[in-house]
Amino acid sequence: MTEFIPQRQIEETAKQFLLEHHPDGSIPIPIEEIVEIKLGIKVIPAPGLLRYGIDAFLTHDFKEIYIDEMQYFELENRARFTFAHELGHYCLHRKYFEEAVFSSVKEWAEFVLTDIRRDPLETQANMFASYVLLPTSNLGVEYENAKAELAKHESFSSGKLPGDQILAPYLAKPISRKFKVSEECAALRIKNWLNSNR
Amino acid sequence: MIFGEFFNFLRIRKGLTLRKFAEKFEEDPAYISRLERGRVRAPKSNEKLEYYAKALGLEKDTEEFEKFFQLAQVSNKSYGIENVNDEKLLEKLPVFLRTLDNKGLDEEKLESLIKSIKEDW
Repeated sequence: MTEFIPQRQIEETAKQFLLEHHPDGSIPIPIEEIVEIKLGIKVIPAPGLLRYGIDAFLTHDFKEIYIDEMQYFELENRARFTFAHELGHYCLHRKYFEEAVFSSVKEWAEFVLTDIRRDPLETQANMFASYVLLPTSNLGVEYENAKAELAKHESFSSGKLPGDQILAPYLAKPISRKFKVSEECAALRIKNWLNSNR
Repeated sequence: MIFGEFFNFLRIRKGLTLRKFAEKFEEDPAYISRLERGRVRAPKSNEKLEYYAKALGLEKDTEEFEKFFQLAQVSNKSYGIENVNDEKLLEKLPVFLRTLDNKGLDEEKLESLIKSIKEDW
């Protein structure tokens, strides 16, 4: 059975992960350095991986991440999220990997074709990636900075900015640049953060 | 230790990710990755090897510099795509195969994926 992991626990795991592997807390989070230098995981740009509809995967032995070569070359911000997602599996789903023992490639194929427990785990890995790439403490600071920049715009000469729920979509772009993630990823993370008890 | 492993060890020791190494020295990251995994021969040209040695922080007349060249020679003599047996392959197969459309793979695509892992990448 798939293990449910509360969001707060995923956030805490991401926080501890960063404390261990990126203690200075600077942004953007150097995710590829963490993957290769700190964890010793090899990055393998794989031409044509996307033709299978897959952008990346972590190998069973945790030693390599295969990533679609085009994404790695041309979509660096997206690749950063992909690496953080695979690290989500690395940190959160070790037990699942350990239980997935196969005696033959045929057995592996049957597992991959039929196992339906994985979808919630993919969501958990996505949450982990968001918390790692946009840590809550940094996000709070950068959100206020972006707001202060926006307030300088002539449209807000009265000095009064609209509420956060209205502002958030407009702040996603500058925040995405700071954290080197896609605008969509930043927008989702900001929305999630505003909805939580910040 | 094979040439590629030593290359990888030196690059990581220098604190360079694959992307940064490739950008800094104008190399193809996919090629460097294959070189490090022994999927392509070490360069034969001394000039190219010296270029890599320097990029990896090796100084002439040191043991590591000599080792780098020796391993390159050995690599070229014994070169051949490693015969990947099932046990080794199983270590390299993913547990999580997230397809972007969430439709999963069919058997034919899985077979093709295994072939790519074994032979192409």
